[in-house]
Amino acid sequence: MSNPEQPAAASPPWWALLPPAQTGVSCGEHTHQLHWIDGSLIALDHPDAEGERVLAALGGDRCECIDLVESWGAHGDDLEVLAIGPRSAADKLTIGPGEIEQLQGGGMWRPPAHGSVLSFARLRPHATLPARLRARLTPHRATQSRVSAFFSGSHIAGSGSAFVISGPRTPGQPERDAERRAGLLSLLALGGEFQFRLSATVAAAWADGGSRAGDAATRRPALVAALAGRVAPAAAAWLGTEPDLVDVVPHEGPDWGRLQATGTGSERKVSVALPVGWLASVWAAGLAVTAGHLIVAVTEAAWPDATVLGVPEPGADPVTLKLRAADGAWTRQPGAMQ
Amino acid sequence: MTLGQGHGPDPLLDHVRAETYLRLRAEAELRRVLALPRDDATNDDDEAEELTAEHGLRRHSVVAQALAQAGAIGRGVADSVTEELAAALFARSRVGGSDMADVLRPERHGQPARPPAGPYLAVPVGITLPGGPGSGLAEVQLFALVIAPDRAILTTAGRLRNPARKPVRGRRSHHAGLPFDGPETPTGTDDRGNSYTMYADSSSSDGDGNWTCLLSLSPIPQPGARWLELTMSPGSPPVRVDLASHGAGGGPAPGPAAAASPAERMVDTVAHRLLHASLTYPDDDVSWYDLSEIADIVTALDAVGALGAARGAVGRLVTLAGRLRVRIPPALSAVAQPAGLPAAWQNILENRDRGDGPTGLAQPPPCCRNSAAPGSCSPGCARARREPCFRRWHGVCRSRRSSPSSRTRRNNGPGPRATTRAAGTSQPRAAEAPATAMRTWNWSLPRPCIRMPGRSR
Repeated sequence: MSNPEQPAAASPPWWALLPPAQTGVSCGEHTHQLHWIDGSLIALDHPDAEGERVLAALGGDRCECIDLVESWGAHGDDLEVLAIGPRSAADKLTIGPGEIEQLQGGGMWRPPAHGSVLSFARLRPHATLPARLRARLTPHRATQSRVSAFFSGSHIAGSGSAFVISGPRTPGQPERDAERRAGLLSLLALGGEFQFRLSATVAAAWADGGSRAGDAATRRPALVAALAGRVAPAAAAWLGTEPDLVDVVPHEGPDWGRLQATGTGSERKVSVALPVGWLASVWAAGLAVTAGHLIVAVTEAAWPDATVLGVPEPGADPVTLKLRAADGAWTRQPGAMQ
Repeated sequence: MTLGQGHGPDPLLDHVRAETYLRLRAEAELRRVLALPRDDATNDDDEAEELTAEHGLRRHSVVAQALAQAGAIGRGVADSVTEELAAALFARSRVGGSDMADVLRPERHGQPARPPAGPYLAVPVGITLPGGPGSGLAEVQLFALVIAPDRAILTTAGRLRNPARKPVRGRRSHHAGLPFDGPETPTGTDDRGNSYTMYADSSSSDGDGNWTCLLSLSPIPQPGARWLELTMSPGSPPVRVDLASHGAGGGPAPGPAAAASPAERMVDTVAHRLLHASLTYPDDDVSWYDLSEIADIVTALDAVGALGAARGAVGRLVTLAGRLRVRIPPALSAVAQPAGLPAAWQNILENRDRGDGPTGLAQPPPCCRNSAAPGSCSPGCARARREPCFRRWHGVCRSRRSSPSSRTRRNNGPGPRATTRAAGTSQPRAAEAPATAMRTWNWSLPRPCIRMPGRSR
């Protein structure tokens, strides 16, 4: 069933139904606060975060808060977030600092030796490489042996030179992948609220209008899995069937998508098509199934109030519902339009 | 036969479909594990009906690698999806860091070892020799010689003359003794006057004197050699191996060995292993053999359109499993194309209970040795139930009891795997099993999950 009814022309931003979140992290000898609001992560105790990044790039001490904020940005379009992150509110990730330490102790992750170089290149793309940082590097020569593959051939933009970090090891793509994954797990260890917000950030990047929307076709399998991993359990619970019987595909087009069902009872097969953006605007906000409806789109949002489109049953047209968040749950408000 | 065609994504297959299947399979696996009680997800309990999270992860990895091997997806995709599932399970404390590390270790990302391109020659030998004086070997069984572009391997087994365990200084365990570990190594010559030495590429012993060994010939015999004469130990009679009549290019390999597609080879390899198990455990019971892993692989290949001609191979496997009374997963039956057994397999099945060999030197176990008649020992012998090598002996006894005609032969050999002669002929042919298996040797195939009663999966 396809319904021509569309979300409001000016859809609310994907974070509109995600309230601010905050958590404490160990930063040096202190506990600092990370604050998420309106789609951005902020290190509250580092008001000059940009300056600290530059100092770190110049060889100064790095701090955990800044590393996490940088990592958050780096994983903002990483589909692995959706592969590892939570599938529902009931899906609790238990990873914490102990598990991260376990990975690091097992040699699967090392602090990025090239972090300051990367940061410098990112922050000062046309600057001359500072002497302090230059001292940590060695000029790249084609014949040089025992150099790291990390930076082999990586030019520091505008520096007029190519550099590599010397070292006995030659980490390759697998180790970079492991390092990146450990960084991601560190973000997920921030807790459930941040897990959903990071997942929403990634989904929004790949949704229509997102920064990676143009590449979505090349990553379709990962997007299908990300969507199916979250829609299927929700739809199955809603209809009393098994998640394996729910077929999910990304929907492309201006309307909300489609929802069909065949069979009855636990053998009921369901076919769902929803846009990837559904993950950011609906699922991440905990709205997937609310008030007996499968919520398919958000039309207005001013947290804690939301106006959404919800499908009461397969084959039926979606109806408009007014919802309000209270005590961590969404409840239907009077005034909903049928 | 020539191997070595490159593995990699097959342009004729739909890679997006295959990757989507694999990723959705990972989602389903995560859901399955999360539905398990936490203890069941991590406890390795033989009696558990469900796979633990760790085993499910490994099974997923096997399926992913099989899809890559079939060319349905790239190996990088296979690794990536598996790693993400591992990380997802780890993040939920369903697998430990070591399990995750096993899956994520960088070595996995390397290109899989694969057979080098070039001619392969597999020659059945099938003979049992007495060990030479001073060699420490009671007997040596030569199964088959395989000459590949990068190596030449002679498969052997036998018994040590004095199997007593010897203590090793500084260790609490005992060194059981291995063949060919002395200064006198086996040697060979060919019709051109070239000399060869042989060294143990790998060997194992069960502590009771039974050993197996892969001997590597150096240098590798060159194409054109007509025969090799092998001397296993000083004083033992040389064995001439006829290469010319099995020469490369002399015709296609018989039976399923000529299978072309990776999927077909995967399935046939499992069938070969099942055949091998039926020989190793000739007491007619390989019902413990677990085909669920290959069933998962076949399901995946079918789902992504990569099964193709391998349906015939699945049919052969199903037929074989039926003959051996192995439980057949419905997923295999569903896609199997009805097929009979290749003649070589049929031959092995028909002769697998026979223990006749040209020379029998080894002693039967005490339960049989003390009996008035061979095979009159208790079929319920507890040790036979417990120890595979003992069970093999027991199988010999039982087969002799059930096959009176074989009593007239000198058939004290330790098992049908060694040297089985066809009734009424003088040509050994039991070596067909390893020879056939070698012809479809695939270095990177997943190993079948064999669940032994009373052992952890």
